Amino acid sequence: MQDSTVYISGLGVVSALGTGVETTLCAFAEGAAQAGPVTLFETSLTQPVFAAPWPPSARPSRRTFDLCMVAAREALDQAGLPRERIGARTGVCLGTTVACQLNDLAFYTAYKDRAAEPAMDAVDRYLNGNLAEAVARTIGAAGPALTVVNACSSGADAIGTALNWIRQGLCDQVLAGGADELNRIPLCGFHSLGIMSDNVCRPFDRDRRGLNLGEGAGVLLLESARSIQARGASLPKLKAAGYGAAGDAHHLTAPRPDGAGLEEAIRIALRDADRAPEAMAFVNAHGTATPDNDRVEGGVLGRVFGDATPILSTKGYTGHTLGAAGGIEAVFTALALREGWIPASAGFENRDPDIPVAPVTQRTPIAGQTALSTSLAFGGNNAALVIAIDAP
Amino acid sequence: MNLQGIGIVFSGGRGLAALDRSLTGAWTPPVPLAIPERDSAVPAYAIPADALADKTALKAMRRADRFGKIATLAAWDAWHDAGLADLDETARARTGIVLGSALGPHVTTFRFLDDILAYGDTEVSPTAFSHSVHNAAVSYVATRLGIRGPALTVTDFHFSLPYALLQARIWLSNGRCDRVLVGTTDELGTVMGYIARHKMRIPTDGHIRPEAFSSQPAAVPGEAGVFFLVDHGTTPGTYGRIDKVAVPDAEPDTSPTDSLLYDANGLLSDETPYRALCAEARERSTDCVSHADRFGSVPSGLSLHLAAAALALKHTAPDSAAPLRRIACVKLNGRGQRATISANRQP
Repeated sequence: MQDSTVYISGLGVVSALGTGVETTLCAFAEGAAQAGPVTLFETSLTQPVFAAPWPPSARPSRRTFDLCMVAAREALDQAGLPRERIGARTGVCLGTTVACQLNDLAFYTAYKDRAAEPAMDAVDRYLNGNLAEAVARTIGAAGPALTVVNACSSGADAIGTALNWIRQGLCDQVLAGGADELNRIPLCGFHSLGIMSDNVCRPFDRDRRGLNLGEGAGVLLLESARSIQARGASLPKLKAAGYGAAGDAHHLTAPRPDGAGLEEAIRIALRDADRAPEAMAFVNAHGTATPDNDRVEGGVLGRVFGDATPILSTKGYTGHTLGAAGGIEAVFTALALREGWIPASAGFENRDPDIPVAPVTQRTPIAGQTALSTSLAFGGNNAALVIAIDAP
Repeated sequence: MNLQGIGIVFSGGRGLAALDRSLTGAWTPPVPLAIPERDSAVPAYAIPADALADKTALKAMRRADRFGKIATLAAWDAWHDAGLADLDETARARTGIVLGSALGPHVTTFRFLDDILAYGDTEVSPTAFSHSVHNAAVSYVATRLGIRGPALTVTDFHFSLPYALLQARIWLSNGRCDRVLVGTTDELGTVMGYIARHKMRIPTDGHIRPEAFSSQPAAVPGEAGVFFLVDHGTTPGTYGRIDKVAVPDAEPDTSPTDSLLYDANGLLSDETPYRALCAEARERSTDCVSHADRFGSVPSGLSLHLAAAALALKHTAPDSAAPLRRIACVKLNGRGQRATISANRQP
């Protein structure tokens, strides 16, 4: 038995824009970027980051989980899903990058010190800390619980995976999205790759100089019609309508120059949603502000959508939240469809002559009931999600 | 899903012949895994260095880490075992890859941490960082084999293979892919060896005993890379057909099953639940076996058991006195959940 329609019955988000969807919408309306120096940990790196306005976790190394639970609880609350309905038919599918690694410098420093016996609490947290498993245990979900580790497309791929779980009848509801914390290890890593900007990032701008790291979580509660009706709730207007993924088979860290993998992912997502490119009210682009990403992505968006479809990148508000990005940006896309406008693409000022499209520079009303969100990742992963809303 | 190809790299060597030898030969004790930082060693089922030497399969992978090489060799062998060396570009675009792993490329993560500790935040190696990302291995597999379909890397401590196969089945059934390379990789390293020494009950004789169903099971760290090539085509699977992937598996399996392979490898704190599982199976005249003592405690050891099942299905003559028709591979996790993968011989 397959449910062809998958509803979004709840949204939850935390990022540098704030905690919760309403705070996020207010921050978008004000158009303020919240980048600043790293304060969560010690580092000699001075590039700005986008930290969530949320206190440092009381529990070391649990920040990603805690961020994720903030978004997950908001999504569950918004959906009004009774606790007794969370069980064997409830899945959890979440993307992350930081939470899947034992990158605890205190433990490792002690390990390297032959005279010391490193405490094993960091190891215990790691071995018991698989993100999806931990969230599933916390909320009492006993269906499939899977952590997707597809680098920066993890969140989008997790949502796409969850969409298919419901379509194939494996679950009635799935908490899906992504979460990642600001962490010294990826900060050093992205710096080593030479793709971090010394200033606040400028997605798609002619003078962009790279990305800023951010943190947060974006979670959607996806649900079948049968499940929603069985608990006596009204069918939501928002739907997860399509998902596409395709690989570059090109390079470990650079996108394929012709963007063929991304284009394939977008066209598959559109087919999956049974929508034409011109039906998209807007495109929420990955738009990291690295020279390579924005050139390749902009070229693909120009080829698929022309220059009539509004595009934006929200990285100028949140930074690049890595494994969380696909989840956070899916929430943003759904919110924009619900509200009927998209914010200005923060950081963009000057059109790049090598990119055939340009993002919006001011708050822009949108017309239409469907939008696309893209994600590109190390390893040549490309993912696209189509989100739809019923006509008013 | 038809099972058309298998690639395997493990402590017994590389390839199905090595797997066959390991399963049918005398038990082989583990070897010492040195932990130089601690002037000690831990017994382990480590992949021998010569099993990872292949200049053809690993061409242009000079900078790849060991995790990526293990995964690529296993995927390469599954691909070629399935006879896909000459597949055209269009068909490769309709091929997916799913890799599951419990812990990912942790050796490379620690190498990156070494850089930070030695050189500070500003002078670290971009190569170590890019390879420490979990999906780097799949990038190598995709690039090496020219696969441009969807690629997914997932992590789960006990159920990485069932979840990977679940995704493969979805791509095949919804028409996204015509075939999927699906597998697992878990590697050993000195830090994990140290952690194993503290967290595992490592037996003095190096022999783990899955059949003991112990409440305090023994474990010996192990590593392996295993890939399967699965498709939905009309050509029967060389190694049979996977007819069930259930994770978590809450329903009793009522299909007649000749053999149940259970991956009780000492990584659960308590293995007594396997006793009931096997007792129930034996009541239905199903033979119960675990090969974990041959491979060691590989978190994704269910892959090795599925490979063993596939090999048995292929090699047992249908006209033998007790032909194998269906084998179930099962594993439990720390939440008391069960995952089941069943393979059968196709008519």
